[in-house]
Amino acid sequence: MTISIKLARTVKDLLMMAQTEYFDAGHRTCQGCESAMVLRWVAKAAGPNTIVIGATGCMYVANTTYYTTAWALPWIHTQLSGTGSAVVGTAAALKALIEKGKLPNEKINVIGICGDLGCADAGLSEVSNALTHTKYNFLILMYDNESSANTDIQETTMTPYGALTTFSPSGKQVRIMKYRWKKNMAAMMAVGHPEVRYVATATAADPIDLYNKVKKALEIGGPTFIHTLDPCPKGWGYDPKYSHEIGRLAVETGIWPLFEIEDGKFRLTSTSARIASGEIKRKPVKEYLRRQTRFKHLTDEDIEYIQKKVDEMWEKWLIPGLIPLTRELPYPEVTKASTK
Amino acid sequence: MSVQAPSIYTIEIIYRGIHQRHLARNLSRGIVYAARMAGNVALSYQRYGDDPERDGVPAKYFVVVAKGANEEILDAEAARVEPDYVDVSIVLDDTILKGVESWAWQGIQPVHLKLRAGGLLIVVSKRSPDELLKFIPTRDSPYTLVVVYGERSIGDFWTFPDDGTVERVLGAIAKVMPNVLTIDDVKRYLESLDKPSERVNRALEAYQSLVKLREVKPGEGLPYKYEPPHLPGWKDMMIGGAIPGLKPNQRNPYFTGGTAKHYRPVVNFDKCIKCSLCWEYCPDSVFDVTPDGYFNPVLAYCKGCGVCAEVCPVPDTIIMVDEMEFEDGYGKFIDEYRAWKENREAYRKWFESLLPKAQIISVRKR
Amino acid sequence: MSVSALETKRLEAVLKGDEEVEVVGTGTDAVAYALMLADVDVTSAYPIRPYGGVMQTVAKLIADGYMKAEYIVAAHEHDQFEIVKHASAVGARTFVGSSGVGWLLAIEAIVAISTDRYPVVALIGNRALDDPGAYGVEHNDALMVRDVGWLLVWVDTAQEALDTTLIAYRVAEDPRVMLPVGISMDGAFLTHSEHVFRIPPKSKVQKFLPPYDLGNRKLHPSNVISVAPQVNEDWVTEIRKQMDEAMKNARKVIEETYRDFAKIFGRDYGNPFVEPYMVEDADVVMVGMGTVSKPIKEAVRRLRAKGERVGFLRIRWFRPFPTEDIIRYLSGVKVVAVVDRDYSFGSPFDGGAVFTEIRSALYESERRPLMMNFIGGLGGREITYNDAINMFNMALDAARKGKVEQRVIWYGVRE
Repeated sequence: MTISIKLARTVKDLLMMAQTEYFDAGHRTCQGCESAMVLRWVAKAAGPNTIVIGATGCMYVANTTYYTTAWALPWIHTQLSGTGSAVVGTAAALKALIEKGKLPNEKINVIGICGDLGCADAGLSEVSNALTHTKYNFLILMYDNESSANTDIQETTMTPYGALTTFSPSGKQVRIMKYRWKKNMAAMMAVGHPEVRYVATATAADPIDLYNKVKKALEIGGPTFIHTLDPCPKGWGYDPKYSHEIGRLAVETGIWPLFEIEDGKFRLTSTSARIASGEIKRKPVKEYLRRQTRFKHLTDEDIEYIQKKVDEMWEKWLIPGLIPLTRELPYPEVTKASTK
Repeated sequence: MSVQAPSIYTIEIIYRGIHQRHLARNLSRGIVYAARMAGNVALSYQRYGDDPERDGVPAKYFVVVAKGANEEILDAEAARVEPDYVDVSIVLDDTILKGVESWAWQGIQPVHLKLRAGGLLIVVSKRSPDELLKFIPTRDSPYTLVVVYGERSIGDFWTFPDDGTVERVLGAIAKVMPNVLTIDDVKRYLESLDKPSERVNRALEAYQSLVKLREVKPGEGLPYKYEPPHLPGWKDMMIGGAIPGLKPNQRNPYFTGGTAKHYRPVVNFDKCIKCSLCWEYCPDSVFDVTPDGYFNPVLAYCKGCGVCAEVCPVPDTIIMVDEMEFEDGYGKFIDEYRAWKENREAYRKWFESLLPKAQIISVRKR
Repeated sequence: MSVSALETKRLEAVLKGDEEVEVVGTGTDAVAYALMLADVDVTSAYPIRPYGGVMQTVAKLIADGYMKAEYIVAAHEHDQFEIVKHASAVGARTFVGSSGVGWLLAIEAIVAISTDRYPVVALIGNRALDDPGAYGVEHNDALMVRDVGWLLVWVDTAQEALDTTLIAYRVAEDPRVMLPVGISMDGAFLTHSEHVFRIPPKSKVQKFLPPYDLGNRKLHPSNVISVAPQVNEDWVTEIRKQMDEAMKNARKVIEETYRDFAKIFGRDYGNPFVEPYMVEDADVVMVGMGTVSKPIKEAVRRLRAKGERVGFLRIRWFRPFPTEDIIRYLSGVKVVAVVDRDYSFGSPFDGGAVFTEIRSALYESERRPLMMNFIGGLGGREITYNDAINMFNMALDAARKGKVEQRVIWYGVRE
C-alpha cells in the first residue's frame, strides 16, 4: 500500500511539520535521556488525537510524578506487563463506544509505551496477543534501554551480551554474567504475527526515521509495533552529552539495523540501507562498545566475538537483522528430483 | 570537649545523582565506619525518594552519629524519610548550591533548607566562600560556610573516580567538627583501607590547608524565599490518581528539572546557521523557536546534558559553560536570545569571555 | 450453557417488550443475560472453570446479535483484567471474571482497577486454589481481594445472580462509589446447575441503570488528564483515604439501589446486606455465604418443626461488611455458628475468614454470643441438610451447656 501521508525528508521538515510539543519539558529523566527523546518524537508524530498508555518503567516513574505530568496528551499508567492488554482494551472501548454512538466518530491514535523489561520479558504474551487483534488500531512502542533502568540497571533479555548490569556484574570468578544473546524482538513480532501490517526498528538518534515510522504505523492501522534502541547514559555509562552519538554508532556499527516491514515487505532504512547498499562501510563494533563503561571489562577477544556475531547478522542471515537463518533453500535433494 | 553539644549529630550529603552516587555512598559509609571505630554509634540512609537516581538530579544521603552512646539512641533516627534538621550539610558539587529540586510540588529547595541555626554548610569547590555566597539563598539564621578546596568529582554508574574527594571531606569534617570525628578518627578509618598512606595524606592535606571558613549572617546571600508547597487534602484531589494534563507546548509548571545541570548551553546567535539540530535533539524540549528562526534555550528546564552542543555543526556556536559562571538560578534564568537581541555587541563580548571557560566538546569538531 | 432455539424467542421479548420472561438456565447464564440488558461495551474472556460458562453464553449472545460488545479473548487472566481496566478508563462499561488461581493470576490488575477507581464488574466463579488442581467451590479466591477496595457480594440463586449483576453496575458506577464489584457464585452448585429464573425487560433496566459516566476522569483527547502517575509518600495516604470514603459511601448507595430495584422490577430483597431466615427468637444462628444457604435453610425448617429455636443468616455483601446488621441479628443469640467455605490459616482463632470478621464485628456488641466455626465444604465437598442438622445439634449442645468446647471444627474431615 502507498502511504498518503506526508513524511519528513530533512530535519527542516521536522521543524515545519512537528513544532508542537505534546510530551514537554519538566520530567524527571536523566540528563541526555534518549527514551525521553523517543517519547517526544512519538508524541509529535502522533499529534493531539491520541491516547497514550505508559507501562511501569523509567518512562513511567521519571515522566509523571504525581500531581504533575509532562504529557499534553491523555495518558494512563498500566502495569509492567500490561501494555498489550491496555492498548487492546482502549482501542476496543473506543470502537464499541463509537459504534454505539456513545462517542463521536473520529480517529484516535492509541499508543502503548513499554520498556524492554515490560515488553520483551514480563509483557511478551500480552503484546503478542494484542498483535493478533487485527480489528483494533494501536501502536505498541518498545523503548529499549537494554536494562531495567528504573530499578537500578538490572539485566533483561534485551541486555546485550557481556554488558554490566547490577544483576550481571563482572567479578573475580565470573567475568561475563550476561552470557545470553539479545532477543530479536521486532523480528519476532513481525514474523510471528504476519497479519500485522507495520513493524519497525528505530532510534532517537535518527529522528526523521523515527518520526516517519511512527506516522506510518499510525496511518496503516491495525496493531503495529516499533522497537527503538535508546542509549541510556545512566546504565550504559557514558557522559550524557554523547547520547546522540552512541545511538548513531549503534546503527553505524551495524549492531542496530534500522528497518521496517510494511505489509510484508522488508526494507532497511536510513543509515542501515546505506550500509547494505555499500554506500557507507560498517564501523567496527569496538567504536561503539569502548565508549561505554558497561563494557569496560570486555577483552579484545570478547569484542571480536561480538564483531563476529554482528558480521554474521549482516552477511549470513537470510534477511540481515531480521531472519537469523542461513540460506539453505531450495533443498538440494528436491531440486535434483524436480529437474529429472 | 569544651562545648556542650547535643548528643546526636546529623549530617546531610547532597550530591548529583549517578555522577556522584559512589562518592556519596562511600563518604557516608566512611563517616559511619570512622565514627564506629572511634567507639560511637552511627547509621546512614539515602533519601529514598531520590532513588532511582537520575543523571545530574540532586539527591541526598544522611548520616547520623551519636557520641559515646549505645545503639538505642539511634532508634528515633532510623526508619526516617529525612531528618527534621541537620547539623551539617555537605555539598559535593558547588553547582548544587543553585538549588535542589527532586520531586514535583516540592519546588526548588535551597541547599541549607534542613540546616540548623549555627550549622555548617560544607561545599567542595575551587571557589572562595565569598564567591560561593553569591549563589546561596539568604537565611533568617546564621551558619558557617566551609569550603573544601577541590575539583568536582564525577563518575558514572559503573565507575568511581577514586580522586581523594572522600578523604578531603573527611579531613574537613575533622577540622570543623572535631566533636563528631577527630583527625585521629579519620586516620584510623583510612588506615583500614587499601592505599592507606595516600588516603591519610589527602585527609591531612585538607585538614591542614584546604579548608576555608566564613561566618554567614542572617540576610547574607542571594535573595530567594523558598515557599514550601501546599499539598491538597484528599477531598480536593481527583480520585483514582488522576490529575489534569498539560496543554500543547506548555512546559510542566510544577517541575522543571533545571537543577540537574552543572553546565549550561550558551548560544552564539551570531554564528547560528538555524539548522535546528539543537532543537531536534534536545530530550527536554528546551529550545524555543524564535520568530526569526533561532533556537533559544529555556534554561529553567535545561538539565545540561550537552547533547545540543555536541550535535551543533558549527564549532563554538553552542558551548557548555559551568553553572558557577552565572549568578542566576532559582527559577530565574538569563534569556539568552533576548539579551542578544537587546545588545548584540555586549552579548558577543560576554560570549567571548565565556568561551575559554567552556567545556571541551568532541575533539573531532575542533 | 448456551442459548437454545427455545430461548431466542424469550430473549427477543425482553429486548423489545415490557414484560419479564421466565427461562431455565445456569447461574452463569443468568449473569450473561444481565450483561446483555446492561449493554456492556467491552468484555474479556479467558477459559477457566467454573466461571467460563458466562463467557460462552455472552459469546453466543453476541454472535446471535442479542448483545453488542467488543468480545476479547485474552492471553491470560492478567491480560483479561488489564483489558477491561483500560476499556473502563475510556468510558466503556465492562465485564470480566475468573475463578480460583486464574483470579489470583490477575491480582496485580485487580488491585489497579480498584485503586484507579474503575467500576468494573467481575464474576468470581468460586473455586478451590491449586495445588493440587481442584475445581470445586471454595471462597478463598474471592476473599484474597477483601482488603484492596473491591466490593464483594455473594449470591445463592440464578435469579439473585442476574439481579445482583444489574445492581452491581449501578452501585459501582455511582459517583460516590466508583469502585469495582466482584460477584461471587459457588462453583458447580450455582454456576453449573440449571434453575428457573426471570429476565426483566431491557426497557426497565434502562430506567434502573443510567449510562456509565466517568465525568472528568474519562480518558479522551478532549479531556487531557494523566492517570496514576508515580507518587511518593506525600500522597498515598490521601489516595487510600479517598477509597475508604468510597467504600463507606457504598453502604448507603447499596441500600438506595436495592430500594429502587424493588420499585422498578418488583423484586424486593429486603435487607440488601444480609438475608435473615428465622432468626427472631433463635438460640442458635448459623451464618454462611453462597449456596450453603440451601441445605441450612432446610435444616432450620426441620429443626424448627421439632421445636428447636434455630435460624440462619446469609451474608450477601462481604465488602462493605455489614457490621450493623451482624450486631443487630446476632447480639443476644446464645450461639453463633459460622460455616466457612474457606480458611484463614494462622488467623486469630485458626478459623475461617467469615468467622474471624463476624467475631470482630461482635466485639462491639453488648451481648456477645458464644461462637463456633465450621470449616466445611472445601474443594466442592457438599454440605447436605443432614450435615447442617449435625452442625446445629453441636451448636445447640453448646447453647445448652453455655460454653463452646471446640471453637473451630473441621466438619467431616477424615481422621
